[in-house]
Amino acid sequence: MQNEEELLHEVTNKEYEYGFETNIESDTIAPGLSEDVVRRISKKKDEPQWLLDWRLKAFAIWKNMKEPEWAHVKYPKPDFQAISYYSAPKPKKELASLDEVDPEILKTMERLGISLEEQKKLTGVAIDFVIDSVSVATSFKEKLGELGIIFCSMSEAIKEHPELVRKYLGTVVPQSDNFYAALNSAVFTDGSFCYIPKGTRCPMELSTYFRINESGTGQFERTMVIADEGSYVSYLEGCTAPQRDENQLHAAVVELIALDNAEIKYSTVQNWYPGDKNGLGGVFNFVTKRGICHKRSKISWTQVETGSAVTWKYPSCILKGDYSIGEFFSVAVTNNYQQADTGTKMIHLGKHTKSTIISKGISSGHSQNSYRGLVQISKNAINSRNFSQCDSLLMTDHCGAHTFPYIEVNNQSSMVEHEATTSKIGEDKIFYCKQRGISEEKAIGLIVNGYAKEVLNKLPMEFAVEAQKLLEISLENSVG
Amino acid sequence: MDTTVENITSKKDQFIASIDGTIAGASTLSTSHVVASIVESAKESLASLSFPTTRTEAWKYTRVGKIINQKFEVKPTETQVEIGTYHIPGIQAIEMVFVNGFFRADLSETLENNVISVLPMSEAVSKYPEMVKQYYGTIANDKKDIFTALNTSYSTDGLFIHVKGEYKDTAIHLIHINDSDQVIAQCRNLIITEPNSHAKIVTSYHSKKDISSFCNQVTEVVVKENSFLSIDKIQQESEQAFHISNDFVTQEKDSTFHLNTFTLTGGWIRNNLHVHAKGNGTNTDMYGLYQPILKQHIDNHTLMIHDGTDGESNELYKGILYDKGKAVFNGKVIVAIDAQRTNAYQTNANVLLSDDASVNSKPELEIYADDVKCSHGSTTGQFDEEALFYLMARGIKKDTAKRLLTEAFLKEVVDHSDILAVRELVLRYLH
Repeated sequence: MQNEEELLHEVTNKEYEYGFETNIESDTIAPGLSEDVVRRISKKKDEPQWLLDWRLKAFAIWKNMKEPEWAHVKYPKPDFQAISYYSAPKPKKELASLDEVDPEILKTMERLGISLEEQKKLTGVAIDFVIDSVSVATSFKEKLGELGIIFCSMSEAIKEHPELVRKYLGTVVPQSDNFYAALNSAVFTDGSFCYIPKGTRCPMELSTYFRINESGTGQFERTMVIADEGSYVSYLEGCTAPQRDENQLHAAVVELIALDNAEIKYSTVQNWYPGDKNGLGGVFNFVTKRGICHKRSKISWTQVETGSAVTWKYPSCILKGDYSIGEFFSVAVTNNYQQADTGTKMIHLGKHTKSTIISKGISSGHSQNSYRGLVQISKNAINSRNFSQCDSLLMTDHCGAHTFPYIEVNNQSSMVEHEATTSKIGEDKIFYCKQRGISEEKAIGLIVNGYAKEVLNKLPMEFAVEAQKLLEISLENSVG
Repeated sequence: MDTTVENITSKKDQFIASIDGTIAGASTLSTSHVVASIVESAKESLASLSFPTTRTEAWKYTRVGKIINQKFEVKPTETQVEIGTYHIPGIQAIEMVFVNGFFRADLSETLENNVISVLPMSEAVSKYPEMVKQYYGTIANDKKDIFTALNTSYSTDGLFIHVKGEYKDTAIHLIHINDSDQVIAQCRNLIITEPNSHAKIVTSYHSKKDISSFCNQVTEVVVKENSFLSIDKIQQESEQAFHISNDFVTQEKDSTFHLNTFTLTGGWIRNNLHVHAKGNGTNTDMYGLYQPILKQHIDNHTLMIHDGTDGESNELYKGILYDKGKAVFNGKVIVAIDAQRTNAYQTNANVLLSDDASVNSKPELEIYADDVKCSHGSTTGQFDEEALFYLMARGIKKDTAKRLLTEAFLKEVVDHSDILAVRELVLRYLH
């Protein structure tokens, strides 16, 4: 049996498994941010005037905003003039089949374990693969097309479905929402767009794999999912990023719109590069995700966060319609010097609205893991209900676990419950496993997976397996 | 934007000028040479700090505009006070009375023996200058909080308690009365319990009906090794009264500290309670109840810092809200990096009995040590319909049934007081 010392040594020296770089020639705008850069992005993408105006308005707002300081994270502020705001893989022609795709990209996908052909044939997953900022391959599109489902890149949607984009863009996350949302609104390059027509149940899980590729480019994705009346869609988003030494900025915006009686399930597995074991490098993940629920609709966020050096992310629900439901299930793992400040906002505006929050934080190494959430029951949201549970598990004596819930209740007929616990991983449980011949490493994996099960169960099957593996990998050096 | 900043600045200047002008010439605690250097540095802080707005995180839900828009004055008074009305029936205690922030020797009894010293700060500075110098202004932080700085700069008097042995049978009752319109009363209390000592303190705050008053008090407490101190704070001020209290507590090894805050009435109240458990094996209980009616606003902020190992803290704040009542609860527990084996529990429960009432609850945990057990919970809801039905089905009138449920809900907090007379008094004043 391996002794603890050896094991510790072995796992703490483990490098990021998914660190590699794809060599694709990129068409990149020189670093810097100005009104001119915003105009150039818009021009390169051949956008209509209204969108350019919208971007310029966002840029004007951003210029007068300050970076938020309230989160429980410390990091060197990114230099926004040192970032290149546009980078697209060069051979950008209309692609009819996979053969035309750059073989380098195909290779990258294979190494990620998501070979497109295989995915196409074996799984029911359609993949819109975004490499850096421009999507280069879309599959299953035709199949979805038959049902009237639109699943394409944002730039394509702007060209082909401008009426939909124009109607909903910025309605859930306005340009002035926050510093990073404003920045994203000004310079977003691409993202995914999804529209499910009335009464349609999307037959497969829609999925996008994001990758940060070009050195020095921030990713500014803009994703929109619109579920029309009575429709259903499950959307998957997963991330892995190549190893880098300077910090990379990722400031995405996701807008979900669930019209009457619709349901959106949005699942994320986030595994951006977390920096090395000394806290060097890693991705800054400053994301704004929000959904709006109309009458009797439901939005469910599930996230497994294992990556990024700094995470700042609060997938939220505005429960506007009566009888609407919002859900948030999260597992956030931080190791080494990672910092995460994540949680949700449930804003109850409609009557008889319900929300559930389950957040599981796991901290290890020297990391700091915070839950920050808001439950707001407005005066008119009578008979509303919220249940929140935030648990934190501490693996080492150098890490931190924090909880910052905000609870605002403004009427007498609603019920709000919040509970949180923080404790160490049970030594008796580890002992019990070890006694039965299970190694300490395995035992921790087992206990952590059990602890997070409540959330992992909410993930679609394909993701659940991956997420479990991720948890184990992320915590491999957490003994003690 | 600049004009509003200027506006606020000039408001601040006017607010302070009014206090500065009316206190001038009076011999007060803040003019004593013993505390001169502390007062001077507090005045510097006061000049550089500005009044909080709702953009200040700690004041997100509580506006101070209503206070700083007024001109409060320092008003010593010699008027006759009906002290009997402020007496707690059945309590065995020595009473120290302060009116408008000034000590009233004619209504109080001081006490000095080898077990305990109880006297006004104005006397303590001349009798025990060394002790005052050692602690005064070292526990309270006026570098960050403008109201603490305001108190340090212009405090008039306060209570000095030095517990040397076991003082178990009698309590010390501080009675604080505001009885002039537009008065600001700034008491500054210092309480020190020596190792292995024991004491119980009751503080009660009152203000005359229909006067606007501002009580801005600061209390510094040092609970030394293996000593016990409990404080029952009873707040019973008028609708027009403003009250800010800042209590700073340091706990040494194996000490026990209990603070119960019973907010029975009041117009606008903000209680800041900071407990710093420096030593190992400390025990801290923070309990509170509130029952805002009409447009009352009650804000409880607590901060519990565990710096020593093996500490335990329990926190329970409960409230019932009526009419347009507003309550804010913000509890923060920080467990420092080496504070292993800390157990910290925090609960906030609210019952809303009106659609115009609102609650903002923010229980926070910041944990930097791994071998800990910490939890917090917050609930907001209504009385159980079935419980009400059960009682009514047995012939109990709805009002009586509600009253029973109210008592049952808040009794957990009331019962935490060590003094029977206090428990009886609080129960009598529940709505």
